[in-house]
Amino acid sequence: MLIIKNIDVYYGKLYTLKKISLHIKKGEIVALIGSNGAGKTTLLSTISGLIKPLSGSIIYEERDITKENPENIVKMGISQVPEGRLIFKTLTVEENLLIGSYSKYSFKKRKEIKGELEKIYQLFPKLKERKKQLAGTLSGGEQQMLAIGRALMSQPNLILLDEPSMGLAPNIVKEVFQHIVELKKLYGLTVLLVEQNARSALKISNRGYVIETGRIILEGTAEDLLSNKDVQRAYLGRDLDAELRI
Amino acid sequence: MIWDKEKECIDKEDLKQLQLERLQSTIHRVYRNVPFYRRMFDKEGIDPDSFSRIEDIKKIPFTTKNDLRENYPYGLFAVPLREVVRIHTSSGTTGMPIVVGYTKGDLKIWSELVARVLSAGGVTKDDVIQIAFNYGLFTGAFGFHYGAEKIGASVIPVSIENPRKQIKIMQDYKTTALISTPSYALLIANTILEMDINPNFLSLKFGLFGAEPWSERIRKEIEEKLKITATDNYGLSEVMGPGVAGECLEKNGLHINEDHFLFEIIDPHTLEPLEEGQTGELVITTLTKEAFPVLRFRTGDLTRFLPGKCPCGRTLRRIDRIMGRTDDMIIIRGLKIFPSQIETILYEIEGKQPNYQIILERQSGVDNITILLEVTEDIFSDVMKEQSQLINIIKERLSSEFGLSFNVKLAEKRSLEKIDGKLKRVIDKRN
Repeated sequence: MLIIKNIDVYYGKLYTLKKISLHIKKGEIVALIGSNGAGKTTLLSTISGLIKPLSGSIIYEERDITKENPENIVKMGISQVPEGRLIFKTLTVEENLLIGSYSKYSFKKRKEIKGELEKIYQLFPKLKERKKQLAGTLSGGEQQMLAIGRALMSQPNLILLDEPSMGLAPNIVKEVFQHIVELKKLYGLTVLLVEQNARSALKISNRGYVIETGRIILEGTAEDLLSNKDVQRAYLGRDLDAELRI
Repeated sequence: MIWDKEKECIDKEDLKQLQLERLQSTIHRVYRNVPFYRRMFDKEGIDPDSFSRIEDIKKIPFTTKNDLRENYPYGLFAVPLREVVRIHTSSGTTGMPIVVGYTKGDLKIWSELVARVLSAGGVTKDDVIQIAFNYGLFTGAFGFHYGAEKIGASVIPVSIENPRKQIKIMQDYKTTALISTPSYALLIANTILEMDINPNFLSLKFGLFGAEPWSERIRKEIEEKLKITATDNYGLSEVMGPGVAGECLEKNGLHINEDHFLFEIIDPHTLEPLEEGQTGELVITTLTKEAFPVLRFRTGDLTRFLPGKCPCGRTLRRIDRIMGRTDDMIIIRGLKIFPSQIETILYEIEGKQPNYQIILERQSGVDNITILLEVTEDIFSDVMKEQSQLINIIKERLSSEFGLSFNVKLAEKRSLEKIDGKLKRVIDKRN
């Protein structure tokens, strides 16, 4: 579905991504794990068209979208849920969701959009309860669900999730990840999941890539990565040295 | 049966993307973790970030067996020793062995890949597999053991035993698949005949043979004597062990597990890549190995890429059976000849496994090739005419096959020159 080949990205004079190659097949959940500043968000923003790569190619459903603008990329069915949610706090929940459908909006389509909205309310009943409430009054977990719901309003095929667990309590993280799995089933979505919380991410993923200082250093099935000692030490928070001492 | 349809029948473009991703990450890992490769890259001025196509691999110098030896024992490991859960060594016949480590992940992939090879050779979970490889530092037995367990077959880890004991186990435990070297399978087959056992009463159905070069003729002989389907497989401990490539039931070449290994075939003299169909030295780069990755390792094994699709449905590329070792390849007057080719002809004429030696000499600038063939005493006691008749038949067959004139001499039994008890197949006196 998505094939990335050798993309290089600069921020000013600084390289942030170096020859990144990665692919996602339809229906897969792929985790991209790595520490802070490894280039995870940069990669997502490059796919969304917010950042232009210096070289390399991004092919989505057999179309080259490397030079496409973000608006068209959303129309083609790629939707990004940004890190830190970035919801509009002073608008209501429903208004936030409707913003997500801007790329599709037209007077004729208002019924269709209404239907989409209902689907999202079904998936996240809490959002329905609070649809008239200002988004800023929601809890962190609810805000994350709102951000995901907003992304779904554009009826994407591929959703790019950036650190959905950030700043959430562990039980809420669990809930958010469960929702992601449901989404995949319900909408037949394909998901690229960026996470520092590598273990939770890999647990719901099919495959994963490990990114370090802008380069991919490991690729494998989620299961293999979970048992890889390098990954365990660096990203799963397991201190093997300490374990060995016991 | 195809064990992993998604990977073994992968679309060519998808495979290329996967190989590129894995090559790039392998290069980053070896550059970061293996001092030998770090030095090599820095010395040659190779930027590890400069690999954007699989073909870019050509920038990297070859890794030789000697490089591996010089880093004895753990110098080339890409992970700390505490992450290594298994050590094997190569069956080095000369000098220092090569020590190879495996992480948990490596062992897992190893089992998967051998499971592919076993399935391709006809084995399923219902089979009873007799492993007649030596369990020890050698990779063969363990690799097949894991693969067989992965499939869910019943494994009998007999190891190397005297053939009569193997046969007893085979009869009593109702073995359905035999794993061994082809020569050992032949030994078992001949012992069965000697013991006057009817092979039709055995439960044996499949044989997967490897770890040494063998020919189509030996395959036929094993298949007929044991009443089985025999397939070839390829692996080497420096790269993983068995599971690198294996034949399917079409028996038309070995499918390479290309999602884990990158194969190149080069001219062993000019080191230039060869085209599909041309025979040369196999060079392997590992794409997923964690503990012991190698880049462009010169295997010393001679083979060629086979063209076309395999009717079995696997899209993985195929290589021909291993034709020999680069050390054995003879180049005479620009012609490439392998001892195995000569062997086939001698066998056809003699009707039995020939014992022979090839001698290369240079006389006033012209290269000559002489075959010394061991014959039984009775032919010497026979009339001269029969001897010269045999010589003429061999000469004619060889020269029509290769377009080159051969000298043929008959030698008495056990008169051929041996080094350390091993018959030296080729003696090159030209330099």
